[in-house]
Amino acid sequence: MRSSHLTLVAAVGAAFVLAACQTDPISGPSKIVGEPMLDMVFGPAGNSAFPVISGQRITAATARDTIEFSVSSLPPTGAGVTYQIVLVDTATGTTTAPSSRIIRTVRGRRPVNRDSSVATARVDTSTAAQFSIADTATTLTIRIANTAIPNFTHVLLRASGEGSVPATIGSGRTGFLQFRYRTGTTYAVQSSVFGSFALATANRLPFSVSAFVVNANFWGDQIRLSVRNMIRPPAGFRYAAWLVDERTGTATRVGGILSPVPENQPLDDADLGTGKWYTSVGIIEAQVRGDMKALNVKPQDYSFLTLALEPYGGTATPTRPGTSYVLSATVPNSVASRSATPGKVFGSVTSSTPGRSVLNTTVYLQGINMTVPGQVGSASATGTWQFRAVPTGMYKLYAIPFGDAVIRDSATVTVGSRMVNNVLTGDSLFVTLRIP
Amino acid sequence: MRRLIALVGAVLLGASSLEAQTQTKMFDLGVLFGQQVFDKATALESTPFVGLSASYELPWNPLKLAIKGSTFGLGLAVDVSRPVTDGEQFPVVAFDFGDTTFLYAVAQRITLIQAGMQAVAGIPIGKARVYGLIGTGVYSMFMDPRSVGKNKKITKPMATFGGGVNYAITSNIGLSAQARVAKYTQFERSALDATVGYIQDRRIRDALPPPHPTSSTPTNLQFSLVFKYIPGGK
Repeated sequence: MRSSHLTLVAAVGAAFVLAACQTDPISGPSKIVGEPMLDMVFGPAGNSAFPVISGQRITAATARDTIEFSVSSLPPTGAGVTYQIVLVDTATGTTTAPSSRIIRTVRGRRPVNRDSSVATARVDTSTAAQFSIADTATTLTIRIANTAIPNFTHVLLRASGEGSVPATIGSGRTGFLQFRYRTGTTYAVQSSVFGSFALATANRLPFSVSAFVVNANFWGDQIRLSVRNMIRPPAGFRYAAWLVDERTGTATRVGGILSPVPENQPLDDADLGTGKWYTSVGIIEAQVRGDMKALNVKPQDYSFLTLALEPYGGTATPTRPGTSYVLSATVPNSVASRSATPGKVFGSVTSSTPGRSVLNTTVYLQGINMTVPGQVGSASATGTWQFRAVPTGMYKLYAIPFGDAVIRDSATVTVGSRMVNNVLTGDSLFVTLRIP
Repeated sequence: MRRLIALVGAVLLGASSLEAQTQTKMFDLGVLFGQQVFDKATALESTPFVGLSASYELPWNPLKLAIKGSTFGLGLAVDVSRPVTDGEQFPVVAFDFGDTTFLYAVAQRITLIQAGMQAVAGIPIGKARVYGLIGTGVYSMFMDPRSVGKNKKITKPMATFGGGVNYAITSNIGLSAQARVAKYTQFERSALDATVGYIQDRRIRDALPPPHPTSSTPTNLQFSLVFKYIPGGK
């Protein structure tokens, strides 16, 4: 064989050997996409309390009749949002917004000593046709004394995000909480119903927790939540996701629901809106996307994620989520484990009265946004006290002298964290509390 | 793969024997090395390839009257490459470990063989020859059995056209720079999806950017160097 033939055969052979011997290191699932997803088990919230009316009664009188009822668990309102008190006649659709006596009670609890505590209540009274809510622990007693009461059938609460109270309501839905007090010519108070109201019973939509959760997870800097077949929120309300820390009461609003990828359009009108993502009673599919970097939050600083109901409208979103948790999930261990080890808060109690004993002065620690104490202790004979395990966060410290029932001193402390021997460790803080 | 190499080798040797029986100066053989650049619609990443070509110069040349020294021939061409699919053009798959899920893009390395007939027309410019080619043939994609779970091959028609410049190094050795377009037909990108054997993730649907629009007739490019051997010299 001539040398040129050999050259050709060698070139061909080398080419095919090269092609045949190519290895396959990149077949299969070889390229990781994004950060790992840290999954949460998202489901019906066990710690929710939806708005409810109780104690409703009606008193007939010659001059004017009176309706009285209590409302509790109303979600806090954002700036510029109020709840409206409305009387509705389902036969004609006419409405009125009667000026009402509103007795507001904000309940709390604080310790007396390590073994006992007292309930606290702050009460104020006003007269108005609408009101706002700032605190989740608020109960309102509403008294409507009006000559027009016999002309209507229902008491209805509306959120002002729906607009001002119309003179008549049509066949559509409106309001979120109602009860019937008159049937025909007879007063007969019925149970309250939370959900969208309509003149025709068939058009009403009582609220219930229902949704199929596709996923809920932390994904890199994002919080992702996808749900399907979720019931529409009551009229005047929308869904919003919140991160909540049960230890300090800190809550951060993650955002409202959006239409699915890739549309990503707000579904804040899910209560009454129309669109391809809505049926007459539900939301076909929705998602929540939160950017933790933009929100400046660390997920390990929170204990659960919740999808809650909040009234819309006004000039700002609410600063608190209330207790209308529809779905929630505990922050997964893979996230919680990033938390710093608990810090320590310790200190002393001193008295400005020479010779006064500081023994058994009650010292308690309460999350900055909590209404109940977190940890309770008492001072020693020398005035020292300590809380050995305090999760990072902001707290208020209170001191009540032994035998006293009044808080005599308080201080705000922030337990931060730092690296100690490569372990993220909560700070140790010394605080001096002074009593008379 | 071994059977394929044997087949191509047999064709080559057959061609060599055939050459011995034909007139000298009428036959050339080429070995191609180059880079194949795929249309984004194919979800295949660029890859090197090797190939063979053989052409027979016809005694009857329609260009002969118009251009002096022109040539016209018919030939065969076959090339082999092993491109990798772009896993980011397909759904991501999920691997779940407790409360942590990892998302992966899945790729596979396929074996791609393109073979066909082509007509080649050339005109001389000094020691160089500029030529154009046009042809038709088939492309066969042999999937990775580990990725798709079985032996799977897809063969569909394609059309080719292109051209190049050949430089005669000696009387029987030449070197060409060639560019060729391979226009696939009946192409189905979904056939390259190697995620079938895994759990596709439906939770983070925008984990990857939207895939490139697919096409049933993607246009791929081949850039190659061709070492040409002309038995008997020319």
